[in-house]
Amino acid sequence: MMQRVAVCLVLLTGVLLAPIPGHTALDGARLARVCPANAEKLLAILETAKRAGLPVDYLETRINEGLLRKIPCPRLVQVLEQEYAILGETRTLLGSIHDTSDATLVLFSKLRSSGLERTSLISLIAVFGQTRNPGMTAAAGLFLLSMKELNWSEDQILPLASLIAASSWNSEQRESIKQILLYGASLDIERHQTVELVRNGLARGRSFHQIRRDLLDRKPFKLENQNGRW
Amino acid sequence: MGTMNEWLRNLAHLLLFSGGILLFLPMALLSETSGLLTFGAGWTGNHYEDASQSATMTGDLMARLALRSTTDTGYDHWRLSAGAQGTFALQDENAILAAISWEHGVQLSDGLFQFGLDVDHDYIPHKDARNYDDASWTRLGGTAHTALRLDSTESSFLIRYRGGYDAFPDHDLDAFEHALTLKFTYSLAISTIISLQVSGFQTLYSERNTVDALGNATDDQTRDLGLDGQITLEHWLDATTGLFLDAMIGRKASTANLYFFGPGETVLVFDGDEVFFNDFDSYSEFSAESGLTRRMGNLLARIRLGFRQRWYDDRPPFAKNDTPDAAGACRTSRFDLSVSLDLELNEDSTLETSCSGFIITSNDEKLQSDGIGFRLGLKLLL
Repeated sequence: MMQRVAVCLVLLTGVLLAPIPGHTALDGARLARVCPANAEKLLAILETAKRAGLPVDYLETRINEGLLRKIPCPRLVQVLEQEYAILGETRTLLGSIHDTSDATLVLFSKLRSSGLERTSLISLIAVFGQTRNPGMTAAAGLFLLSMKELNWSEDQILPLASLIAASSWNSEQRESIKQILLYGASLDIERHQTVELVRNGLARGRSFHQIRRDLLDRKPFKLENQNGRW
Repeated sequence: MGTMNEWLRNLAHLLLFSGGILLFLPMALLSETSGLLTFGAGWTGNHYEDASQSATMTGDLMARLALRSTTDTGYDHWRLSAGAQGTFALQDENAILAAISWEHGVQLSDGLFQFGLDVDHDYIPHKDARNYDDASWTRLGGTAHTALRLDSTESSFLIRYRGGYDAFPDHDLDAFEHALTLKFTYSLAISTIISLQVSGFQTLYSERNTVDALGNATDDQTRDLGLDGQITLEHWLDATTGLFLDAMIGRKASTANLYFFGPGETVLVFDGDEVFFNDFDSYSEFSAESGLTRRMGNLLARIRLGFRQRWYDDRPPFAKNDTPDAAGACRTSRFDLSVSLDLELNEDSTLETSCSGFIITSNDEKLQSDGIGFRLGLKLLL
C-alpha cells in the first residue's frame, strides 16, 4: 500500500512539475468498446464541462489514464464526476485571485484530487495570488501530501508549505526541510512546536545546520544520562 | 555503616520528593509541559552478557515529565523521570529509578551557555547474590555540568565540563568523576554532518583503596584516568533514509589492582593460590558502529551494527573454573546487531519492537558468550 502511494506521489510530482503536455484526444471508439454501458455517461460529463467552460482536455486525459490503467468503468464514472466537481469548486476558489486560466485551474485541481484538503488549497491559492509561481505552489502541495504519507496532518504542515510556496527552495532543500521535521519528531518534540521552530528558523534565514541545533536544544527529555545508565 | 546507609537512602528519597514539590509543581503553572510514558516487556537470553548465560523475562516502565520556560534570552528546563525495571528470573536486578534535573541556558549572539544540575537515584531493594559482597547496588548520584557552544552557520564547537559524585551505600564504589568534552560539528552539505569529539575523564574512588602485594589496603585511593576520541558521520540519502558511521578509540589508565583470593573464593583463605595483579583495569579500546534508518509511512526501521575490541594491559584472562592465566592479558571482541521497528499508531503513540544480539569472543572464558533479546513496548507522548 505504502509503495503504491509513494509511486503515485512520484508520478504526481512529474505531472505537476513538468510543463503541461499536449493532451491525447479521447479515443471514443475504445471508450465505447471498453465501457459500453458507461460511455454515454462519461461523454455527458465532458459535454457538461465544455458548456461550463471547464478544461475538457484535462478530463479527457483522466479518462484515457483510466482506460490505460484498466480502471473499472463504474469507478471511472465516479472519478470523472469527482474531477468535474473539483474543477468547478476550484474555479470558484480561484476567483478570489482573478486567475481561472486552464493551467492554474488544472494545477490546483490536481492537488485537490490528490488528497489535499480544501483549507490547504485555499491557503496555497492565497500564496499563489501573490507569487504567481506555479512550480513552487505545486512543490508546496506535494510537500504537504508527502508529509501526510509520513503521518503528519495538513494542519501541522500548512505553515511550512505556505512558506515553501513563497520560496525558491530547490528539491534538495525541500527534502532537507522534511528531514529536519522528522528529526524533531525523533527527539520527541511536539509536532506543532517542531513546525514552528523550523518555520521560524527558515523565515529568519537560519541555515539547516542551525535549525537542527535549535531542535536539539529543544529536546524535552533526556532518555539516558551521561554515563549511559538510563 | 547501617546508620549511614539509612541516612543516605532517606536523604535520597527526601531530595527527590522535595525536589518534585518545590521545583515541578510551581513550574507546571508557568511552563511548556511535555510528558512521556514508556513501558514494555521482553526477554533476554544473557542478561549479564557473560558466560553465565542467564536468561530472563524483562519488564520496564518509565514516566518522564519535562517543563520548560523559554524567553528571548534563554531557557530553564526541568526534567523528572521515574520508573522501574524488572528482571523476572533474576529478582536481584529489579530496580526503581528516579532522576531530577534542571538546566539553565543563556542564548548568546552566536552560541549558547548552559549550566545544569542532576540528581538521580537507583533503588535496588534486593540483595545482589551474584556479587562477592552480596550487597545491593542502590546508588545516589549528583552531577553538575556547564557547557559553552559557539555556533556558526554550518558548524558548532562545544566545550563541556561535568563533575559529579556517586554514592553507593552498600558498596565501596563511591566516586567523584569529572569529565571535559570538546566537540566540533560541521555540516559538509545539507544532508551530511560530521562531528569530532575528544573527551577526558578522571574518576576518584573515595572508599576504595589500592592493595599491596600482600593484599593489605594502602593509603592510595583508586583512580581512573581516561581519554577517548570519536568521529561520527551522518548522511541522509533523502528525508527518510539515513546512514551513520561512528568510530571511537579510547584509553583508560587505572590504578585499580586486585588481590585474588583464589578460584571461587569470595573470602580470603590462605591456601597458597592467592595472586596479586598490580594493574587490573587499564585498557585500550576501539569501537565502531554503523546504522541505517529508514522511514516508510508510519513505520520506522533501524538497523545497527557494532564492533568493539578491548585490550587490557595486564588483567589476566580467566578460565571457566575461575583460574587466572597470570602470564596472559585479557582481550575481548564484541559484535552487536540490533533491528528495531517502530510503528506510529498516531501522533502520540508508538509501538516499539526491537531485537538484538551480541557475540563476545575473548581469551577470558568467563566473558566468552553470546545472547539475543527482544522487547515489545509502547511509547506515549502526553
